[in-house]
Amino acid sequence: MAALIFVVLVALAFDFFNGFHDAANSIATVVSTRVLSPRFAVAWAAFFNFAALLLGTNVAATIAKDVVDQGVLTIGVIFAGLVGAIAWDIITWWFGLPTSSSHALIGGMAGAAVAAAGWSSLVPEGFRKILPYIVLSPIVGLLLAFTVMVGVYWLFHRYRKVERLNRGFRRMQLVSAAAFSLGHGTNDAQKTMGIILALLIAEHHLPATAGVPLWVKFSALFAIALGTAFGGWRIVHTLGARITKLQPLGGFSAETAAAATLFFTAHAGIPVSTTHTITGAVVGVGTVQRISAVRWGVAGRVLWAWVLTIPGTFAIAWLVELVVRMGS
Amino acid sequence: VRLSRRAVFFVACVLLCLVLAPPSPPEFRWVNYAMAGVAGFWAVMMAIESFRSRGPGERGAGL
Repeated sequence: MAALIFVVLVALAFDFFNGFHDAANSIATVVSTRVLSPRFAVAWAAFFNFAALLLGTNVAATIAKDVVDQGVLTIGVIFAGLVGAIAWDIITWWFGLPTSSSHALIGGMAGAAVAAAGWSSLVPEGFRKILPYIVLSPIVGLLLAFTVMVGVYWLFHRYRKVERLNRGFRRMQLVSAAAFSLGHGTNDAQKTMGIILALLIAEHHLPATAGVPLWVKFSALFAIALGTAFGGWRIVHTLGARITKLQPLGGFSAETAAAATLFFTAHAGIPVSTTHTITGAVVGVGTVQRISAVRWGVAGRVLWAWVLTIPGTFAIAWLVELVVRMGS
Repeated sequence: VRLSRRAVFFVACVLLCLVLAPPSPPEFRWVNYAMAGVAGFWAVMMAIESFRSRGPGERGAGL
């Protein structure tokens, strides 16, 4: 029982750091356009992260049941998968690579399961759902953001009161930032819910067909909201130097497109990277100006993260599982 | 005739969406086709824009 509680706490710590890392995605635009003060923006994002409690749990079900054969999952396998994902997050943070916690978690779970029971322990249908969307979700974000931005330009191209228009979009950004935070909570917190659900099923505390218990939903969303709040505060201190000045219209378009992508993938039960989705959407907004307005270095780093994350976490989790098995 | 960089970029998006269609689950393939359609639409629009804005001795519209 102590081991179970320990691994649940490790999963919640993973969730906390996910919120901590991704806080910038949720509040950067509303703070840099001065729509909200940093203090209020952090509270706004954390609240809507937590409000995802009211939405479905399809992503959690995919993580718990569609990545690895449930018969293979044990406390040791899940622990090794989590350690692989956390270690990868720390390594990529150290080298300044953009981390996808989702891909890290999936690679970690796969590596630990293969070490424990071979390649047949992976569920092909689950990977068929997950792998194409690693590449597709930023592209969907990009195309939707471009379309929203051009659509808004087209609608208001005769409108001469630019100051008033910007004021309107500053208000609209409250809604788009809330939607993005809600999408973030729906997608990312559910990955932790899925891990805890898999753990409870593996330890026979729940039947294999069980849904996510309320306390698991509550604790995962609380952990990610708390992480967002702490991460947000870190950003407050470095805000002036690190955030590029954005126009309210661009922020609104990027957040709306990313939120729409996250709502769709969450509804379909497809775990995607919220960071890569918003990055794609921001690239889409930049492309409206001109191709050279986009910081392609950032996009290139996302590409590296795609290539490296799953093999990297797979390898680490594979090794950790072997060590855990030898130790026990 | 040379396409603008934005048109080429959206053509690349079309190809990527279509390449990812076969490995995607059948129930979600419509997303690939819809996004390929959106990217195709913008590729055509960008191509038209670049042809129209290119007068004698003119370059593409800041692309």
